Amino acid sequence: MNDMLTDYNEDENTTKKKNIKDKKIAAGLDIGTMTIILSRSDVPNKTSVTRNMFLKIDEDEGTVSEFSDISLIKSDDGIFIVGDDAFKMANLFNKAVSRPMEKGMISPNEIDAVDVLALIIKNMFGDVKSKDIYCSYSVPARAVDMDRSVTYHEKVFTRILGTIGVNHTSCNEAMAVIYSECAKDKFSGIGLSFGDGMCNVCCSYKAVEAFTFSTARSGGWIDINVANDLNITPNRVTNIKEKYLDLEKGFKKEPNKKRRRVLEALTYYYSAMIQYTVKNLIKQFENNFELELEEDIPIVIAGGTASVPGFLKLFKTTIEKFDLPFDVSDIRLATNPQTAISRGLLVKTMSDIGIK
Amino acid sequence: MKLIIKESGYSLELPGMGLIRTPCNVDITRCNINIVISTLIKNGVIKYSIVENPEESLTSLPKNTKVIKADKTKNVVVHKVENANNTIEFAKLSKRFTELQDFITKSFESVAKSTSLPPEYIERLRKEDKKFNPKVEELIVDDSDDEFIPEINLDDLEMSGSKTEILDMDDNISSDVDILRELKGGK
Repeated sequence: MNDMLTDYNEDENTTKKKNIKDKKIAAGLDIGTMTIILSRSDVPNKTSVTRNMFLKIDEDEGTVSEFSDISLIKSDDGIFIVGDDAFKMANLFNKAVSRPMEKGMISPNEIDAVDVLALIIKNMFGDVKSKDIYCSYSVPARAVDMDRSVTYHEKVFTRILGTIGVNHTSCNEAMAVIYSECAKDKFSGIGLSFGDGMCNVCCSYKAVEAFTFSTARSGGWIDINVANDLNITPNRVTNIKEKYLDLEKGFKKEPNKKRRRVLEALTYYYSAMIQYTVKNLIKQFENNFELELEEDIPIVIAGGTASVPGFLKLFKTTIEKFDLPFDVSDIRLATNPQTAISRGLLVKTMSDIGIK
Repeated sequence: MKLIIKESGYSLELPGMGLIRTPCNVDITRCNINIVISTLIKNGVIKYSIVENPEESLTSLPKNTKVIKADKTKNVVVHKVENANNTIEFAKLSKRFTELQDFITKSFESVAKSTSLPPEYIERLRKEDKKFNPKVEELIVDDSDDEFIPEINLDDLEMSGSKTEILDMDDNISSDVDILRELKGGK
């Protein structure tokens, strides 16, 4: 067995499963604030995506029979509607959805979160009893601007995956971007993942993590600040962002005056977020990276927040103003910014356990 | 009565005394001895001495007080000061202090058994007092976070109507896997 397998926490029943002649299955699980994304080696051309949210319905608000064709979890405490359906039903019940994760990590405010998360992930994996599954799951790096450890978050998911019956190991989220997009660069480069909760950054040299860090300024930070400045709800900002924002075309030609104000504010905060990230990248590089790079390295960007049209152009325009301590060969978006982390984790796992 | 602490680095607030920095040699005659001792324990001060200073205490007594000198042949220092209106038996107080110190030492040890002590603190204690019971180290609670991780019980939960979005991917990751494996030296 590949030595790298020793990095994986083995499920208790793995010994029994090894006797069963089923091939090993690799998986990459991206656990994001907004979505959970799973890629598997036995279904390499498909990736499953679920919204990371749920809505608790008390018994007096409705019964299971009233919710046909809805993703839900039944428990003694009530009914939990999960995923996209939770988002849609929240309006119907005039309630706010619950988010198991906050700023890239397990939310301390959601008591029900861990069990619901576990069941969502278990449902995404499907039957694991007769299978020998090895999974790498994403974890954020320690934030430079937030006093919160990732240890608890990591250990919760160790427990979840162990309970489900999956062998598992963690991997930095931004490093997963490198695995996904930098094969032709011998896995050297700067990986950035602009998620909803956090922005993760990794510098890799030939598949070795030189340093990683994260910041709390990402998609959620933008929405909250724009909402506060304009005295509107963050949900409204998110709605306008997803439907109308184009950082390349700009906001000046938007005929609707209220919407134009929101788009203008979004543009400024996007620029601020990028500047902040680049400044921290330079600082961390100078503090942590002693090796003088002879080669130019690429900067690769992924994450839902970077999926906005015109983001790459804005990023390039912003970073040009800085004097970087390394030479850049290329700045590019991931082939699929949304699924890059999950695919990168799958590449890593497949390499670790020796399957193609 | 004097409190003597030779070890430096402590900053203590004794009732009625204000802030005191160690090392110190202060008069605590007017303080409540129980509160002084509990303050010392609370601040982690183990090595201290509370000394009766017979000469100074004698000088503070009323003029007409007849003083009987200490009987140094005995282990317990006895100072008996006779006064027409007032008799103070220091012997009983000395014994009481000794009992209090024993009691507090035992309490400290039992507290040490039930709480986790920082390793550097244990090491300092061990160095300072050779009689220190090394068994306390075995009782340090593992500071792993595991006990705070919630137990997951999926037995009572049932999921239905699952709708997960499936995305089609046209990337070929096999070649990426080969490059990574070769780079990491795997077969």
